[in-house]
Amino acid sequence: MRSSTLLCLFGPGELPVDLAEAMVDLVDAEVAMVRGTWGWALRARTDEVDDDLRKAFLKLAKKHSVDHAVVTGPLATRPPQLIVLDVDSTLTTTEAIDLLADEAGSGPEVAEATERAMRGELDFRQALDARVATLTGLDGDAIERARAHVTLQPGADDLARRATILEIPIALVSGGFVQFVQPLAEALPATFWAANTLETDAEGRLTGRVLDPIVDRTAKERLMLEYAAHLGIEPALVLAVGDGANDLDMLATAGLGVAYCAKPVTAAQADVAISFPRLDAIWALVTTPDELSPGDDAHHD
Amino acid sequence: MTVFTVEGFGNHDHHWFVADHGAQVMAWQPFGNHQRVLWSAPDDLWEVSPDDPDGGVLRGGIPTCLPWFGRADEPLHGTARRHTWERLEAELVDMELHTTHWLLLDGLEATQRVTMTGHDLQVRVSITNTGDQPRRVEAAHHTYLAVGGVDSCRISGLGGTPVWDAAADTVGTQPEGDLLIGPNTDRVHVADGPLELVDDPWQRTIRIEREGFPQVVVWNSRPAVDAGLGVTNDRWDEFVCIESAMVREHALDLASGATHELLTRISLV
Repeated sequence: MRSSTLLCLFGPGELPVDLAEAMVDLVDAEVAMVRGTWGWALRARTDEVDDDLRKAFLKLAKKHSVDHAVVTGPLATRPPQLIVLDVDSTLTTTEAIDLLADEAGSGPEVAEATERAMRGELDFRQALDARVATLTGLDGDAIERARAHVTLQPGADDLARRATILEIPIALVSGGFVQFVQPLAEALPATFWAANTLETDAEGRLTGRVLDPIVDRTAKERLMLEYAAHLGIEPALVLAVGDGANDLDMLATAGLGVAYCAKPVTAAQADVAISFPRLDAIWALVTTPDELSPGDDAHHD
Repeated sequence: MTVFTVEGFGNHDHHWFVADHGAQVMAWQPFGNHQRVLWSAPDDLWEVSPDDPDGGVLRGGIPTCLPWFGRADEPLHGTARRHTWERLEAELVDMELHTTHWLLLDGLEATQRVTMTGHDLQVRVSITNTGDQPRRVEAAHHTYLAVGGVDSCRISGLGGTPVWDAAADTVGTQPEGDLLIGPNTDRVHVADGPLELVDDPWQRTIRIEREGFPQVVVWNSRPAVDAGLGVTNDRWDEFVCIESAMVREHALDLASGATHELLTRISLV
């Protein structure tokens, strides 16, 4: 019988001294050392992980201040067949609304809209509308200047390169804006993408309105399921990555939900948390085809 | 709503606010609903004066009771809420608020992390025994939920649960159906599922979810029964406490060096 759980310790830079030995002692299974563009990973496969082993494994990770993962389900033994990424503060280090507000000089008004939402005066849609309304009149040049400030997350290129080699499609789902997400999707490249559409007038200036339907927390999860259905795969074969509360539904439904440089409470609800800024660290968690031993049927569906 | 006059972190006008004293969540508001979710009395903020020899107690919000709950030890509800916790992290970005507070307390280390979003409020406390002996720990998130009239509210999710009615000192099983909040409500239920507080006057339902807390305490302050609570008595009609609890026979035996984590999550249905 094949082993059903993947235990993984991983981090940036160099492997801490003695950690491999400590992991071998703990898991009583073969431990593989992997080096990657993000840093290093120690991985072991085992049939059963009980509560005691889980706790001891977490303790070992904490003691050495390294990240850890316990991957169960189909993705413990086979590669994902779709990778879904949040955009603002996940694929990029920037937030699109902030870059546009900088151009419009509307930072204070955006903050005021946020305050009103926190008083309960606005719902999510109204909060988005109120923030976008402060951008009214921005022209194409200003949007282009804002877009030039978009910065990719460290490791984003390495994530995309390896996904291409492994022929794993990428999808981007963003509560940000088409004007920012479309160029990113084309450059990666991403097979699927979705974002909010800022309405423009005949001269290409923002009208301050967002077109329906909007991409919010529930839409992110729904879109992920649609993409999976389009590919004819189960959600259990999807790896999803995000940093914010509006990613939590999507992370919960995916086969492996990865919180990326997220706040502790968000991170605690995901299957795995990456605590250091290397987006390609997802490869520490992924079973690649060359790892599958002869006789393993990687396509047993 | 008044701005809180204690040190802490929140948005500009304190509709979202975590006090450093007790790491006590004092206010949170979901997007799209302007009735407050947590009850407090900002104009009469201290339930026990900050000059009290045991330390002061903030009134309302979500006091974190630790390392004991009941009256077996003094002061009532433990000492954690009477200390000012160290604020390690506080951030309000992209319409989310995050705080981390830390307290060393007589052989225990407590870290409380709060996340507020437009959807939900999460309070996660982790408790580590830093001593070299095992010890018994009680804990509670003593949540004051604001209501449009306590007599018109009901709580679902407790039907069929074992209950100790502390007011009558009787033990029994909660009948199926909703729990109404009567004039002398002080109950400890053994229940780990989600609860809902249905508030007809304000036409909303608050959902309470817990992790690590095996019990629920339901309490309402009535002057005739529980006199001497001041503002809490005067405004008994404005709130009900639905408390995430780990107390009495469900107290935790925490081994030396061990950590236990407890979560309370509040959202609107």
